[in-house]
Amino acid sequence: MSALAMGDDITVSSSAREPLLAIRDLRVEFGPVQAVRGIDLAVKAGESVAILGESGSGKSVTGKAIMGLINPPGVVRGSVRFAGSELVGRSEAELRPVRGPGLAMVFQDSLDALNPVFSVGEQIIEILTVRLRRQRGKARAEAIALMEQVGIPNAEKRLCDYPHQFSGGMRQRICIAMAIALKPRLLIADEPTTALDVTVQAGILKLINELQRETGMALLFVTHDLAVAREVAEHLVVMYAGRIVEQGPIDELFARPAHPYTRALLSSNPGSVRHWSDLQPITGNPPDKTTVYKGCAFAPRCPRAVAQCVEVPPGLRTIAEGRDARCHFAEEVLHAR
Amino acid sequence: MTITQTLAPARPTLGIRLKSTFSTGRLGLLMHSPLALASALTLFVLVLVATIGAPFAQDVANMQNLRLRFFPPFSLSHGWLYVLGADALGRSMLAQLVVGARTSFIVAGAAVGLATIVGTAIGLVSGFLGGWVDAALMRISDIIVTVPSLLLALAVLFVLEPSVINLVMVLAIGRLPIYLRVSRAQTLELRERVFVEASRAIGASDFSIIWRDIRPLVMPTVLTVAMLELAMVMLAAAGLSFLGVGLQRPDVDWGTIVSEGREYLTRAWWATVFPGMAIVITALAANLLSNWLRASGDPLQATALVAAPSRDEDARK
Amino acid sequence: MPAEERGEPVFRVEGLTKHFGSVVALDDINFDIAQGEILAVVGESGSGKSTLARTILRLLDATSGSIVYRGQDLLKLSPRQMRPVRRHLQMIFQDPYASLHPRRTVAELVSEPWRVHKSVLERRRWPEKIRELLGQVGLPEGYANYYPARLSGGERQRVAIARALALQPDLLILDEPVSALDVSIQAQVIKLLMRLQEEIGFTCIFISHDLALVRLLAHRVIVMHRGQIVEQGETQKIFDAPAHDYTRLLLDSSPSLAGEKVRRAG
Repeated sequence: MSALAMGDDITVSSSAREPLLAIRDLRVEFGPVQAVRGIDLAVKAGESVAILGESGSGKSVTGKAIMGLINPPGVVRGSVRFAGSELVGRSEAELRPVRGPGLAMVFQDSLDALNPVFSVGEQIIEILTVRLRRQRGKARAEAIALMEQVGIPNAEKRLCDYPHQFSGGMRQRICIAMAIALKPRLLIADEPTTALDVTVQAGILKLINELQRETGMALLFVTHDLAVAREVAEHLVVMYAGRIVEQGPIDELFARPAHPYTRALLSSNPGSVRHWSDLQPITGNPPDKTTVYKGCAFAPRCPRAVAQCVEVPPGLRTIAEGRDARCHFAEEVLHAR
Repeated sequence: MTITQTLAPARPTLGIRLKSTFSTGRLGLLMHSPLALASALTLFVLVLVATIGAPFAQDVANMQNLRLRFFPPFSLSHGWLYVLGADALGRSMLAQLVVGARTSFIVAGAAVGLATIVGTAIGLVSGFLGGWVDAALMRISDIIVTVPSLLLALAVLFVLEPSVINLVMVLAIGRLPIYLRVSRAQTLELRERVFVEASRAIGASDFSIIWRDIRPLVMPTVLTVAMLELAMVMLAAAGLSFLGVGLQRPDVDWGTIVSEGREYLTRAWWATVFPGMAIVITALAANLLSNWLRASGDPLQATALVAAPSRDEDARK
Repeated sequence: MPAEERGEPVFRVEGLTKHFGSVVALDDINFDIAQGEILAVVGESGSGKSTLARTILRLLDATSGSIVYRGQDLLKLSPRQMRPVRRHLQMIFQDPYASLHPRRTVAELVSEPWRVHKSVLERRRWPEKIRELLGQVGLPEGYANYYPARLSGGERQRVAIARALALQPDLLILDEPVSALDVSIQAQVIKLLMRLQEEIGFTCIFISHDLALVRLLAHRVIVMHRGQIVEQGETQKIFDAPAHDYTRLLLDSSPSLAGEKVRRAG
């Protein structure tokens, strides 16, 4: 707990050796639904990691599980270590000091995330007075500074406005202001721009990048959009059917994917071809969360699947410096043209 | 179902498969749900008793035998007829219940049915069209709600002859606003849904949209309400009988028996409890069945109720 | 632009205006579409692109202007006269979870248009045609008796496409047809739609906010902003040399696989 208490002074160098967030064999189940089927993940201090996946891949559930936001009947197993202390199995009271100065989260739906009956100012000030024991006057000034920091014009005037009086993009900025109010060491962003227009999205992504650079916090960005992931992250984690299928530095992953799923996602993206007839769609449907796979979960949709793929589950193995992939033929895929 | 029939000649497998999922599917589902099955059987038996038993019991039900006044139930000393005891005038409770079943079903069934059909129809049109039509219809509904239904019934039945038909009419009008409001509220929500817009884009008429798109989704809720209303209407009918404007002897329904027996509740509980139980059991069974019907009629829930054939299997066909 | 090269327009919208109370949703919209052309309408939420689609189909009433379809002004038709015309103008909606009636099977959904336009196809030929349509959109026949609840998003959108094609429309409006679908499914549906467009040759209005997609498909593009058309022209030209500031902003904002934009520029 001592490591968590010192949330305010973040020094990037101090935790360079040991990852800030270390997840081992994380599993999340909702009855027969296996949302997350065992993932290992490390986020170093100051690093920006994107988790990419389509619906049902378990990407959002992973983010929530790290925050301890999985409610019964959901069951979380495995280990989530944040700054040296275990988070899985902790009570709400024990997690409270970690949330805020340690971990903070921004959600997809900003209207849902804010309380409609309090002005945004009150909501930000409350965090500051309750958590940092600031005096009201000081907290108010700080709230205005925060709103300015996230790019809300006329911050002082708009302090008394209610969430519904803001546009979607501005609301998301307020959510970000609340998330960074306690100077978290890791910000988890769960599809924060999915509900927004492209021009607004660009602003939010830029803001997140800037904040990350200024404060040195680590970022875990959950998204389904390849291009968005590319804009914000250095490290990419691709999830499929509740497991990590590939991870590595994002530029390398985009240039030379080692998993057929990543490769297929890239070649089915409209941004990657010149004419629609060049699109190479992925066949079949996204995975079902209740299905138990004997072999590789992607095998039914994989263009290069062989008998072995259906029978033997591939493990996540290191195939190159800093690159992991969960495929029997990862090397072949990596070097294929 | 018309699609099935038209599909059937060209490709038998399609039609047969759908028919089988419908008959064995729906009935099979019922077999798997003991509560719904029991409810269905209870209602079936009650209707059977009402239709077959009532003509035979008609005369016996009104036969008074003062020597058997307040004869207690569960004794066979005076034969099967008096196994459920006798009332203040020595009439067989069993025979009265059988005859009452028929009247109750006819009165309550007809009143609820009428109110459901008329109320839902108005609610659908009112909600879908909106504007002044909606405003006018809703004000009429408000008026019906504000006038106490008992007062309305008394006034109407005082002027008109108290007959089964008039009773049904009065009860139906009194309960109309409930169906109107439920169906209107749902319609207001449903008419904004995209599939309604999609139907309109195809070129469907307003009537077709109301009938084919909205009605199927409104009916389950309305039917659930209707089932709840059955018991209410049975008791309301009894209230009118008690005031002397409802059914009069020799016509008798469960509600009438309850209100007659109430005077002697301390001396002869069976004169109230048995007809009361009959009402409760009917209402409960109807309720449980309607809940099940609602769940099994919904494709989304029905797939959860029964193990559906594999999609892959169908994909290969 | 050289109108004579594109042939006689199938569809011409002139001075189309739509007010919602005091809000101007569409402000003096003018454009036309040639036979077999794919016209993309791009813009952000609130730009009026969806309102435009619905006004063209008269799902919403226009405030003023004219919509001329093959010589006939649709806005002058009574609702009754409009109904037969709808046969030729079909629409595919964004969310296939919402646009299909939950209580109807796939076969019923696909045959619904013939129920409305009785003259199109006699009833005994329905089963055969349902099978043909399902085949065209790549759905197995075994799905004919499924309710939408059992289908995935991509499969539902295929059903919606089959239903739209059932009337062999002249003009098909696609309102963000893939944006509600999973990324791995989008390319499937886009390819299907484009293949069908090539085969059947319907004229197409493609409404989207996804510029990368628009670039691949559309012959011409209309850029909408706050109810107005700020720029229109050939796709290539607009993407290569956007004339309007807003178009430039849109192009700059949309994230690309090349990445780096935000990180470097920011």
